[in-house]
Amino acid sequence: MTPALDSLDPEWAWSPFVPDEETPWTRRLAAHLCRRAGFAADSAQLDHLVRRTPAEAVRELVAAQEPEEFRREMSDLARGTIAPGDVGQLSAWWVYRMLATPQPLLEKATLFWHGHFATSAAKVDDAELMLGQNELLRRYALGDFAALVQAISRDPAMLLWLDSATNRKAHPNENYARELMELFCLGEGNYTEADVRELARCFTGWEIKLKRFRFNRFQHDGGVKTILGQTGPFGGEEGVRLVLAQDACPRFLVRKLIQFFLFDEPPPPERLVEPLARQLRETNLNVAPVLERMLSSRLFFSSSVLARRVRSPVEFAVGMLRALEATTNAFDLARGLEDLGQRLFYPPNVKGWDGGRTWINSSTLLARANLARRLLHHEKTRFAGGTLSALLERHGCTRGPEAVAWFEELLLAIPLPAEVKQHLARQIDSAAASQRETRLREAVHLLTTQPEFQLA
Amino acid sequence: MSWRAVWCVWIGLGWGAGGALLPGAEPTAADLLPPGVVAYAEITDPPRLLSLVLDHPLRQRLERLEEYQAALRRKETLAALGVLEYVEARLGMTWRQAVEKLTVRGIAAAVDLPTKGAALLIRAESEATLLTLRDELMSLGREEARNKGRKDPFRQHDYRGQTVYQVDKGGFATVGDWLVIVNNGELGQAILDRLLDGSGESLSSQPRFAEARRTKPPEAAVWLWADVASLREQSTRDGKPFGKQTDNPVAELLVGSLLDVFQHTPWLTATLRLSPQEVALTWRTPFLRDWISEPRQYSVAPADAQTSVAPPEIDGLLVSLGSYRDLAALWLRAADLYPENVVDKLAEADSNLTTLFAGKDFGEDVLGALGPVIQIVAAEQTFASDQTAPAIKLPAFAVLFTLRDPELSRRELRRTFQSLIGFINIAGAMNGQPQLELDMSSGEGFDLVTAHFVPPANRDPQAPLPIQFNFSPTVGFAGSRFILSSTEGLARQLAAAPTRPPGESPAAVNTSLHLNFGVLRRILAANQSHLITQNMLQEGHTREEAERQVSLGLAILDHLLDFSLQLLHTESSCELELRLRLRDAP
Repeated sequence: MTPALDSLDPEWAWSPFVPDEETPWTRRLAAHLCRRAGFAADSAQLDHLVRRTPAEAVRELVAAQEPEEFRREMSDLARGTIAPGDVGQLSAWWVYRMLATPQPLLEKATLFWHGHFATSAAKVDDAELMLGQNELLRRYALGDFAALVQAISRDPAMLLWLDSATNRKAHPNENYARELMELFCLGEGNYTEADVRELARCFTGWEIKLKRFRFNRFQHDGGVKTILGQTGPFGGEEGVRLVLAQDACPRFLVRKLIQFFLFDEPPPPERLVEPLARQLRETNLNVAPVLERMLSSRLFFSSSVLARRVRSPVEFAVGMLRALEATTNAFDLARGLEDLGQRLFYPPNVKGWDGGRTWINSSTLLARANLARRLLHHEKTRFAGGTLSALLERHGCTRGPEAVAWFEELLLAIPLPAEVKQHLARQIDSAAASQRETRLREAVHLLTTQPEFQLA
Repeated sequence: MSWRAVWCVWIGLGWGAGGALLPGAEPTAADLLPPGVVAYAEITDPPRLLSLVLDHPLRQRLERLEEYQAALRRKETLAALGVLEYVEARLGMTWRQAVEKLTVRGIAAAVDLPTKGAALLIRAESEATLLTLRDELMSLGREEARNKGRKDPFRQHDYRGQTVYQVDKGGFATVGDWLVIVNNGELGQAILDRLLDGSGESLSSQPRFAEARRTKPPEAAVWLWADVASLREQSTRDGKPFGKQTDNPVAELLVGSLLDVFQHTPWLTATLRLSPQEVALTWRTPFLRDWISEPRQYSVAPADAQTSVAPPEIDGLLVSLGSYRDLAALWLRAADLYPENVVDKLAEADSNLTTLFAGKDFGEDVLGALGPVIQIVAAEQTFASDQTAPAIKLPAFAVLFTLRDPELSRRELRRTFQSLIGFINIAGAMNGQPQLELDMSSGEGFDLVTAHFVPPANRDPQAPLPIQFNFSPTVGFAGSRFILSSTEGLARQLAAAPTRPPGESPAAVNTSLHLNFGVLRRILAANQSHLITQNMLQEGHTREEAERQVSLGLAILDHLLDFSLQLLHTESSCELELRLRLRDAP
């Protein structure tokens, strides 16, 4: 039985997970870690991680760097993708990157910030600016939150999205100032309308010219402002610093990180948030140490977190493909995510995707099943460069029960009912040699339609 | 590859059973087929055809490619090759030798309308060869059936003393060195009767076939005939008469006249010619100018017309499409050619275009000012430097017309072009797009009105320009020629190109298309990085895989020289010729 989060001792919750006889460090737990700290691990990655301690495994995931060659290649690919000027193609590039990245936590964190600083190409309508913001989010994804907020405040895509390009001293536009406090740093109830008005004055004269940030001193209001109890002739940068200095800031951020990486609901109790918020403040709003503590904690490997998140469309599709070492047509994959309600670069509004239970309804559930089928049977889908049967053979899974057990360990956070497993195994074993590949893909498809698969 | 698949391949290649040889003159396949045949194809010398394909230097060059070698190493390929090796061992010869021995005296295929059956007639080197191969292949077929727990796939019957083998719904039999395979018993009997009796009415005596047969060129590697008159009658009886109309304006423009031809022509032939240097396919039907209905006269030049659809002589020509089409006549006759819904849309377009051309009637005045020959041209585009090159380098393209009255039309067209550029600038400015700058220039015997995109003043010189910078819209006037081009460079080349004398390309050439693979390869190579990007995203490939696949595509293009298509209307025939020429070995 899962203990109530309210009753959890924060000290116990955030102390490092140490495997014991009752909860040993297994491939299944390593798979859980990889689903949350990325999109999913393949079999070889699980083998690699279980040879380390949980703490070492998490440290490795957090500290991993993308090889320079990969970064350069993805950058070239991105430039090539946006060359025709079609912003819609960028989402294909990003899913390709998610499938190929050797540093999945960095990519997952970038996805987190994309939902946090939700900016939609529907309004920005410029592939170069959207790509620029995506690269900015990735640069700071596991780093200094304060630097990220300063950078995003000058990001052309963000300024176009929240109308800062028209923020002049005669008519300050309050959009960015409001969202900076409400959605990006503090949360509702931690600022007043007067703070919004005064902070907006700080950002006057922050403009976009020829797709670049420009400070127009003639349109900047250099007068004295009073923001969050502080008074002075603040500019935009100082305004951001004042917001980040609020006690509410690390608490707000930790709450969002917990909801994205640990569990959708209920909202994390304050007593669980507080120790991490303290740590975040002590590390000057550096995200990586807090994330490392969260991912290596007792709470993370407990039943309060296991299978306590609904897979987002990206986690659903990219996770399935990564676990099975699969590659596919990135354009079709990106289009499929759109059908499931997560069109990358096009969050629905300034609050981003609501996530959690809202990902699932009768229509998206059907769309999930259809997308999984399309991907599994897509002519461009290859598993480790070949067929699914060859992949299973390489991993020594020649019979149905072995194949099902292998799929279950890689793909599912909680075990399947025995009768489902037996049914799948029978389906695989009853196939003629010429039908084996199709039958295996159908088995994976059936598995992805199970309620268990919708949970991460 | 399963035994069954191998058997299926080989079923067309030979079995035999003892049978009587015909006395007297040797029959042809057409002598053995009933007169109700409506489609007939023959390969007179299959070993030569096989040799042209398999011994061609291009094949050896393709086999040296890494992609080909990788395909050979695939598990499925190795398995198939293993099966083939086993079959060859059982036959005691290579598969190629077996095919050559079995088909050396020709292959013919036919579709018979009364029986709705299809037949394949193959003539082998000798009866003995047929028997040997038949025994081995039937034995392989039976072996496979036994291994899969199935019953003997061949049921044996006797027909007039001949052994006939039934397989599923079809069957086969041999008489001497003839192998007959059919999917319909009635048709099989008709063929065997002619083989055994050596007489009877046959396809050879069918007048439409006989007439077409006389036009068969001796060098034809494959020759095909279709009885269009019978098919048309049958189609009418079935309540699905041959279409007289298309609701696709582009299809009407391209092949409208052929719809008229098919309302009248008695037959159609296709001839495939092969040589080490080229592959040519010619479709031919009889033709009478009267067959072209009045509304479609726009698409066929009068016999005495002095027109030329030959491609212009310019550097870097990628594609040229020249065609005789009187657009004004087509536009004004639209109501006779298209269904109501299309006519309504064209009327709407006519109204909008009349507005664009300052109140001039689009059909009468604008299209009426143009001569009846259209040339569409695409060519490689060169850029001064990488700094002025867009990220994706598109070919330039242009449309050429002859003006009926150049003095009258020039000013109108120039003014319309300037208005159009102004409109594009206003629309572009509202969307933050680069602006076009108008200019004028001239050369020896021509004038150009050009428009160039202005690069942003403070752009990063290292950053590639947007895709719009492939375009510098231009109109040119050179004598009676009017050029509408996507770039100034191409317009300049076309305006300066020598005018072809009308007699150079006979008026019989109605449409001429030419594609240069060398130029296509250069354009693709210039966009290689973009092709690799698209390949990675579409195929899910790594960069190395994508590079390999794109290089393979370019390597294949290295072996191709050009492709051409010509539609000819002579006084007695209508011909469509497609020709692919290969590049000499490097």
